Amino acid sequence: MLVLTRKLEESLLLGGEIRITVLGVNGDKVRLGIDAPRTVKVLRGETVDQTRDANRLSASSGMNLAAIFKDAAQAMEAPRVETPKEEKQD
Amino acid sequence: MIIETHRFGRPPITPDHIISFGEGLHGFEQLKRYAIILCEATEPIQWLQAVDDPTVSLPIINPFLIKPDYELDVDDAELHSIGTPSVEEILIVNAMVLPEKIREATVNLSAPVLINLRSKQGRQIVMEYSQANAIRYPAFEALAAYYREQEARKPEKKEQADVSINQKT
Repeated sequence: MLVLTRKLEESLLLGGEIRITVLGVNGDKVRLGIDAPRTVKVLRGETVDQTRDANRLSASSGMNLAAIFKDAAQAMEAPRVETPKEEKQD
Repeated sequence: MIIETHRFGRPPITPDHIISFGEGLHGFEQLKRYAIILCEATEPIQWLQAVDDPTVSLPIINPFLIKPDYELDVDDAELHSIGTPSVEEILIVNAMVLPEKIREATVNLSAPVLINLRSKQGRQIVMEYSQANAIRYPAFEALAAYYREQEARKPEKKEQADVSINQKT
């Protein structure tokens, strides 16, 4: 990994078309400005990491389909049971 | 052709069922070929099955069923990468997480999967997440509403069946 130190308002150029400028530093937060062509997708690193985790979780879920749809069937019944149990109060 | 799957055994797949994902899916970058398995038992949830790994299949759903006002942010370069489909040619599906407690089912609205039905190319788009397009957007209420709607349609058939029984007696 290339490591560079930049000061406030200094910038980095990536590939000639992408400029990243340090706009502000406040404690552990750094504000960055990014100038890039519209075709370059800019995403927070954790967004991509979370998408990866979500896909893996998705692929490992729903293994017990029978249980899931039995559960769904019960859930379907649930909203119909709206009569409050007041008989016990007597 | 025959593909092996852990969830569905050996579903019949023809080559034109196969969708190629040039970049794979995030977390499964090495798997480039998928098929959509339409499973009646899990309607309206379908499955994105990796052709080259029996263990990888993601439950998917039409996001507009869960969130009718769902909005996607897709740029031209991303559409170009799947052959610039027309509106009619795009299929949009989103991966779900289906825990054993179906009430906790979620759909990932921040990373829709776009499929060009004409060219059979697919790509997962990653959008910056927001409250509206959450990674774990609750899906149960909309699913339950769908199931209730399906249930509500059944009694019509049942009445018809009763009539025929009465006619017999």
